Amino acid sequence: MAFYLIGYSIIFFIIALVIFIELVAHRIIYKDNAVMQRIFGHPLLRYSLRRVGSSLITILLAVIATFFLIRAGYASEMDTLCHQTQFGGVPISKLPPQLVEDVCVRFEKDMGFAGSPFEQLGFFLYSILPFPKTLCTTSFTLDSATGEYLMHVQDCRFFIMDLGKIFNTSVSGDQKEVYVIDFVFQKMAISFPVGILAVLVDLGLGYPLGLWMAKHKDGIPDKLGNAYIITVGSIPGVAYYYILLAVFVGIFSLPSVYNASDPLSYIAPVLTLGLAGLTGTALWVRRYMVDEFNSDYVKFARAKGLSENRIMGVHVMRNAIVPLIRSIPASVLFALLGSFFVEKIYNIQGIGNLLINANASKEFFAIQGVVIIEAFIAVIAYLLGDIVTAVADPRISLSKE
Amino acid sequence: MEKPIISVKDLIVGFYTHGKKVDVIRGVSLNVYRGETLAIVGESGSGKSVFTKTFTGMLDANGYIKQGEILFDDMDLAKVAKKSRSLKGKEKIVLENKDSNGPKPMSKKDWLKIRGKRIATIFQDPMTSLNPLFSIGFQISEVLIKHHHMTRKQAKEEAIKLLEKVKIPDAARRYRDFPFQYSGGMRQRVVIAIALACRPEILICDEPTTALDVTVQNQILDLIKELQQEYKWTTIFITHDLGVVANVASRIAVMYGGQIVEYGTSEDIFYRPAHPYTWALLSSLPQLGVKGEPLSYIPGNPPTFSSEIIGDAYAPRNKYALKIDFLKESPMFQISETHFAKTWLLDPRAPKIEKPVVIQELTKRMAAAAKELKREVEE
Repeated sequence: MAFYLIGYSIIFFIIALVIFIELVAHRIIYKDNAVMQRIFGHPLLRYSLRRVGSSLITILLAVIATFFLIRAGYASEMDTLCHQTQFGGVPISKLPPQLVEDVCVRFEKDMGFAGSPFEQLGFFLYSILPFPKTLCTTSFTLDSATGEYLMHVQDCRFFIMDLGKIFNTSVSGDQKEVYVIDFVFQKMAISFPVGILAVLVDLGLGYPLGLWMAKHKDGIPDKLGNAYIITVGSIPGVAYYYILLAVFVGIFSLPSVYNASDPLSYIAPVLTLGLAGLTGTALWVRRYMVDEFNSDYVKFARAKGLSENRIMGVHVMRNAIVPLIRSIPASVLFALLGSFFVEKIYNIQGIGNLLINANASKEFFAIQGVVIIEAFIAVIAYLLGDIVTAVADPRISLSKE
Repeated sequence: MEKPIISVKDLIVGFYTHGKKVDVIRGVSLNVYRGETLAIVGESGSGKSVFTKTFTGMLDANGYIKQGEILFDDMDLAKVAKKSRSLKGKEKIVLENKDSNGPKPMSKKDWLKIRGKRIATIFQDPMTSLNPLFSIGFQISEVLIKHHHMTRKQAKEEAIKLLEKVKIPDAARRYRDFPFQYSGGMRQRVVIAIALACRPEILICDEPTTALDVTVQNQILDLIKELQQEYKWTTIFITHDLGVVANVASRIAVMYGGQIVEYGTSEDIFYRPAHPYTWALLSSLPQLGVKGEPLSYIPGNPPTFSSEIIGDAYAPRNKYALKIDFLKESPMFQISETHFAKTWLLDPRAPKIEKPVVIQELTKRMAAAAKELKREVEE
C-alpha cells in the first residue's frame, strides 16, 4: 500500500509542479516576486516542459503503434505460446487438462490479449504507463496426497512500468520467466560500460582531431585526418570490425573475449566502436570550424589582438559547437543500446542482439519491451539535445511569441 | 614638419592567386600624422583595405609584402618574421626586404601587442563583426582583460563605462545582452566601444558606415569624431563615399589601381583637385549635380591586376589621358606644401586642358550643396 502511495504521490507532485510553473510563468501567482519569477518563470524551464510534454505524446504514439504491430503479428499464437510455456518449471503438458484451460485463460489475460481491442489497448497502456502496479509469478506444486497440481501465486512485486515477461530461455539465458524490464536493464548495464567508453573515445579524440584539422586546413594534419576518415568510411562496416579484431587480437594480443572484470578486454571493443565513431565527429567539427573561420567576427577578434589559440578555442569553437551539441546526449544515451556486431564479435552479453534473438523465438514481450525502451531513449536523447542547444545558443527563442 | 606616427615608404603588396603573383599595392608612400583624420578614398578594388591591413599584419593568407617599409615607432611593420612558407606547396615567396640591419622582423607575438592595443580596426559590417554567441559585455571585457590585465570585475565596470561613452542607453543592463538583440547602428557602437577599450593610438575605420542605414551613418560618424577629440587618436578612414570624407577628414588620399594618385588636405582635394580621377570622383557626387543634368559617372572598370599595368592605370578610362599616360607612369608632382598628385597633366610640358564643368564651378557648387544640406537640416 505504501508503494502505491509513493507512486501516486510522485505522479501528483509532477502534475502539481507543472501547474505551478505555468501559473508563475503566466504571472498569475508570485507576480512581483523577482526570485520566484527568475527560477520558475525562466523561459528555458517552460521551454523544456513544453518539449517534455510533446515528447511524452511522441512516446505514447510509438507505444500505440508497437501495440498494434505486436497484435497483428502474434494474436493467433497465444494458444501455442501458452502450451509451450513452462510455469514454475513445470511444462504445461504435465498439468491436468482442466487446469490447462484455466492457466491459458489466465495467461492470455496476463498477456493483455483478453477482451476487445480497446480493452486490450487500455490494459496495455495501463501496464506501461507509470501507474504503480503489482505483478506476481504463478507456480505449481504437485500435491502428493491427491496427486493434483496446485497453482500458487507468489513473488509479488511492485512495478512502475510493466513490459511483461520472457519465457523462452534461449532469449533470457538461464533465467526463467524473467521480467522484460529487469532483463533489459540487466543487459543495458552490460552494454553501457563499453558503449560509454567508446563515446568518450569518439568525442574525446574526435573533437581535438577536428579542431586540429581545421586549424591546419589544407596542411599535413588535415590531409592525415582526411585520409583516416575516408579510409574508415570506405571500408564496409563488418569488414572494418574484423580488420580491427585482427589488429587488436592478432598484433597486439589483446583478449578477444570481453570480460567485465578484465580492463584489458575492454580495449578492443571500445576502440573498435570509438575509432569508427570519431571519424564522423572529426569531420563535422572540422567542417563547422572551417565554416566559422571565415566569418567577420573572427577577423574582428583578430583585430582586437586576441591570440589565434583564443580565437580558435573560444570564439570559433563556441560557434562550431552549436550545431554539434545536439547529438551529444544521443551519443551518450545510445551507448545504453550497445552494438550488435561488436557485442557479437567480442562475446559481450549485452542488449545488442536481444531484439534479433527475441524475434527469432517469438518472444513478443521482449520485442515490445525493447522497441518501447529504445523509442523512449531516442525521444529523451533528442529532447535533451534540443534543450542543450537552447542553452548553448542564446538566439533560439524560448517563448512561443 | 612633425614626425609621422606611421610612415609608409614604397610599399608593394602582392597576392598569390590562381597560380599567379599579382601586385595590388604598387609602390605606395604615405605619412600619417598624430591626431589627424586621414581618409583613403577609392573605388572597390583600388587596394585601400589591403593597404591598411598591412598596418595590423592582417593580410589574407595568400597576400605578402614584397617590398617597402611601414615605420611605426621603432618597428617596421612590413617586416614579417618567417614568411618563407610555401603557398599550396607551389612556390616559395622569398622576401626582398630581409636585410639584417634595422628593426627586427615582426613575430606573431609582436602583432598581438599592436593589434587592438595600439592600432584598432573597425570593419564594414557591424552585423557580423560581433560574435553572435557571446554577450556584448563579454566581448568588451575580453579586450580589457587581455590588454589592460584587468580582473573580470574591473573589466565589467570599465565595459559599462565604455558602453555609456558610445551612448548606449541603460548600459549596466545592456552588458548581458547579445548582439542579435541590436540593430546595425547599435552594434557598430558596440564595435566602437571595443576599439575604444584598447585606447589605440590609431583607429582604422574600414568603411564603418557603408552597411548602415543612411539615418544612422551620421550618428556613427559624429560619434567617432567626438571620441577622437576626447581620446586624441589618429583616424584612418577608408571609404568610397566622398560625402562621408567631407564630413570627417582633415587630409585625403585618393587611391586608384593600388597607388595613391593624389593626396592633400581636404581643401586641396575638394577645392583644387588636380588628378583626372579625383575630378571624376567629385563629378559623380550626386550632391554636386545640377537639377536636370544627368549624373556623371566613371565609365569602364577598375584595373584587374591580372596583366601588368603599363603607364597610368587610370589612362584607359580617362578622357584627359595623354599619350604618355599609356607608356610611362607619372611621378608624384608637388602642387603645394601639402598637395601632391600623380598625373602628367602637371608636367610643365603638358598641354593645357579644360577641366570638367563641375570642377571649374566646384566652389560655387559646393556652396550650393552646403546650402541645400543646411536647408534640409533646418526642415
